[in-house]
Amino acid sequence: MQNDTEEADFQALLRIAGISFAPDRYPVMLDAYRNWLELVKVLDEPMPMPVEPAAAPRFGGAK
Amino acid sequence: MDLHYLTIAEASALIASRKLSPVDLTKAFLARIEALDGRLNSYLLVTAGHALAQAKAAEAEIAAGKYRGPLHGIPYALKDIYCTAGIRTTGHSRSAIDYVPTEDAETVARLTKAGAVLLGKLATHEFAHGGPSFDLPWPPARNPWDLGRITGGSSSGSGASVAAGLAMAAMGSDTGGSIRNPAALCGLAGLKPTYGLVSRRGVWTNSFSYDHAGPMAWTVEDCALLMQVLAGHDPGDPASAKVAVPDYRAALGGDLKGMRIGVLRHQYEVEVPVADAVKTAMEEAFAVLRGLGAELEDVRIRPAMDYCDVKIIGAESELYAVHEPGLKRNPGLFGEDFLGRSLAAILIRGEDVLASQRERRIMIEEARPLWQRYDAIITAGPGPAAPFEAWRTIQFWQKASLTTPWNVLGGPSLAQCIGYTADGLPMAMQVQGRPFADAQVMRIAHAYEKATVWRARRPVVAEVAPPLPPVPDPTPAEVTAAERDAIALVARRAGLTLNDRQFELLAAAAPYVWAMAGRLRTKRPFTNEPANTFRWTGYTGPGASMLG
Repeated sequence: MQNDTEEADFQALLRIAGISFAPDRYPVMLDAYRNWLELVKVLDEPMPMPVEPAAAPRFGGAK
Repeated sequence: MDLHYLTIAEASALIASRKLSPVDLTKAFLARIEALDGRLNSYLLVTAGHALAQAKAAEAEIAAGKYRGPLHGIPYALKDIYCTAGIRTTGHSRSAIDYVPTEDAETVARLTKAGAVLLGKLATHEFAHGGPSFDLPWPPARNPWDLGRITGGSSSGSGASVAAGLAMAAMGSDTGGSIRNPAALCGLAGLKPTYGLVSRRGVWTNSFSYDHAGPMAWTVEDCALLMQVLAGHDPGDPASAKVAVPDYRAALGGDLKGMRIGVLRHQYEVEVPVADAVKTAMEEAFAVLRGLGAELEDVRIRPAMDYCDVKIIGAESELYAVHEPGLKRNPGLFGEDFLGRSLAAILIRGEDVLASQRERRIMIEEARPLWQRYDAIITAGPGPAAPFEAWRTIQFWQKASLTTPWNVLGGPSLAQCIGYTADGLPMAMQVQGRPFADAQVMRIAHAYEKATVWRARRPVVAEVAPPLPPVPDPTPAEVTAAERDAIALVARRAGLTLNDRQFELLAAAAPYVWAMAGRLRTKRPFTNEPANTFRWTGYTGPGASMLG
């Protein structure tokens, strides 16, 4: 079931980011936003502190 | 003989020749902690039984002819973000007040293997970040030179305990200056080693990209002795560098003839102006360095605020990622100073973080010519120490830092004492070198130290500590009603439930974080990669020597 809050958030986030697009694109973009919300749910799982990012800055050695 | 004021170099010579008992030495420190720490607040936990057991084991080994080296039987302490197996590790935070790790940090394991004696766990700004704080389960550490003043942070207990003779050395960590701030304000030597030279594994993360573990001690020579044990590759730390570890102590000594040193005069006189007394002390330090044979000339690097923009946008995002579950669950378990810094990370966008890491790579490349021309770069250290009541969280966002550029550039940076103000507060300079030139930085700092008298002076801890100030009210937020609504929306989308004071802390930081992110939104070629591009590690087989 779709959530009205999500649409209100979508509109507010567009304003904050300063983004606009043609009105006929609105349903598609809102749908994409809802899909994105589903996608990022996978990131909600808490990770313990020792889990490092895949990329860490590295110095290869003295030059 | 005041055992608590021996340096590691002095004590280890006595221990090695069996003229000093590690047990007697440890008991002297435990007695001094008992006598003084009620006023200093430098320890969160004293591991007396553990320390005496380690000291007795050291004594027995040495008596049996199994001397392990200069740290054998030496009492030291740990900032309470270093994990210790079976010993509470809190980050000085209510949110981790009962956390007991099952493993030692790699650095702790190395110190234990070297025979060092752990006296206890030390005060820190909350999770090595927010502070000084007056709303945590333990009070903030006080500066032994003046109990009404801050120690600097975040390695606050490390600075206070070593200066007052409550530990021979302490481990600190440095994400934006957290070893060098307390080293400067408490009158120690503190080294932020080259990023990747000392393992961060098991040290509670502030920022994956900017954290450095490192030593704090009374002398540069003692830092060198500690580095000999601490430095080296750790396959369990993805940022760990595979480089040969030199003999740091052997690198000390001699004059500075032929060395060329750049001075960042514009930085500490104009951009981040230090007190007149510090400027005078810097000139006197330059005369000492010239007397040792060094050639000095003024040089400029980018404005200090540029480095703060890069570091804060990236590091606050990483800090928030580490603590997000706790902040969503109950922000009230964190101190207000920590919240006043960390919450604003929700206003940082993904592209901002990438921009910060891309700009970091540009900055690191820009620094290469510096290291071709100069053997070291010198700037002033932070300090002298301010009174507790002068601190406001918003200052974190407002002011550029003398220490942070070297976290961004990643090379070694050492803070050391260059004298005292008329009020008896330590002043400091910082010595920097190219990545992995840690030995050279220590050599220069050691030469200066041996040519001056500052190590002969120790703080006299006052009999009575003045009362601590109350928790400061949040600084009024300079945002419009529309901006306030936008911040509330982002907070709700982030899953945060904040009370009025917590929301004000967030809103007060907003204009600063927006400005920082805005300054980083410049056009860059796509070939400009971030500083933290992914690299393969840990694979074996044909061609694996090219990896990791």
